[in-house]
Amino acid sequence: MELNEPDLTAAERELAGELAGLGVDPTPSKHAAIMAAVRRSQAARPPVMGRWRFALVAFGAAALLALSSVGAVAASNDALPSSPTYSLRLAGEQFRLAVASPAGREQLRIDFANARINQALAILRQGDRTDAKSLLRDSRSYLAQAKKDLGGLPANEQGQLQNQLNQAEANEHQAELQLNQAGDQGQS
Amino acid sequence: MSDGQNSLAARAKAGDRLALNALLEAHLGTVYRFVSMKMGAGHAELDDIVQETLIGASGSIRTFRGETNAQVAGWLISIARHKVADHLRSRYSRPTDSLEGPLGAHLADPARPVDEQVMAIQRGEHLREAMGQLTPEQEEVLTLRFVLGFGIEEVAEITRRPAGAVKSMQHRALASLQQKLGAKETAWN
Repeated sequence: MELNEPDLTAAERELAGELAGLGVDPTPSKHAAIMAAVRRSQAARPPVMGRWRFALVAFGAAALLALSSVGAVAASNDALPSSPTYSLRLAGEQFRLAVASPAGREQLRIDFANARINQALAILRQGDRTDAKSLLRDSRSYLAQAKKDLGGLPANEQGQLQNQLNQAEANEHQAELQLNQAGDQGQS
Repeated sequence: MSDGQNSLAARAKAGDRLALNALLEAHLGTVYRFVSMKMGAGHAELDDIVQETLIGASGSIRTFRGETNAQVAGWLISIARHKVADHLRSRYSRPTDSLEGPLGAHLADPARPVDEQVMAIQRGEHLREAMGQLTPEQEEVLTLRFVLGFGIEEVAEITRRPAGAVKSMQHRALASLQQKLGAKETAWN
């Protein structure tokens, strides 16, 4: 490498010239081979934007799935037993029961039963006896389970729940009577 | 620095692969000279290290924060420096590899007397060793200035020092290098 460094002394220029000789340039064939390898590595690897795009699409799909699942479960809260989304309603309730505390779980069972009883009475007035009957059957199931498990709770937590349970059982019994009366009227 | 290369850097960062390869191709010689200075011109892994440097740069172009020719060169040299260090570390962990040195690789020019070739190679090795004994800043300035051929202003841009400071460091580094070489050759003779 030629050095044209007017600021350097002759000795410095000589040393600088030796330093220039330490580095070598690639031959054209080496240059071409190295660039070919670089291009091959790029071809083997998806573009960075592609990876980001894939990650974004995957994230979006997961978010959409999660939102649609939450939305479907939320929309199925009032689903009737004859509806295809009733199983989602049951699944959502089972999930909430699974993550609740022992006292909270019994409270939820009573709440689920009450919701079904009220819904059964409402649809019975519209003449849907089949769904009302299924709703009451499921409410009885929830109340029976609550009654069974209530004894395992600490005494201080049982009192209020027991009152709610008694009230719910009474309501359910009333609803059963109305269901039967509606059946009798339908037959006569 | 040229506007063409500046726009190449911008296009490469934006994901233009053709621009990226043109940029790497334009700086391949600089990277090659740098690695050959650090490892020795005939080192068996020289081409591999240059290749790994450019592949590494290709994969991380989006993280590069610079525009100018000097900044691109500085970025590539910093990647190359790490690759060289990785290879040197792995070579020390495999001592049998040290049999493969630059001496044998250089003794292949039938037009030159063998003793002349050996002396030139030894002088190069002394120079390289003496460079390694300078401070990292001095070594960097001499490498950029004389091995890679950058001007004072470009070295100032790469090292982020004022041009005046680069000039004085260059003089001090050359003096120190001369002194270390003198001491080494006195010891040898």
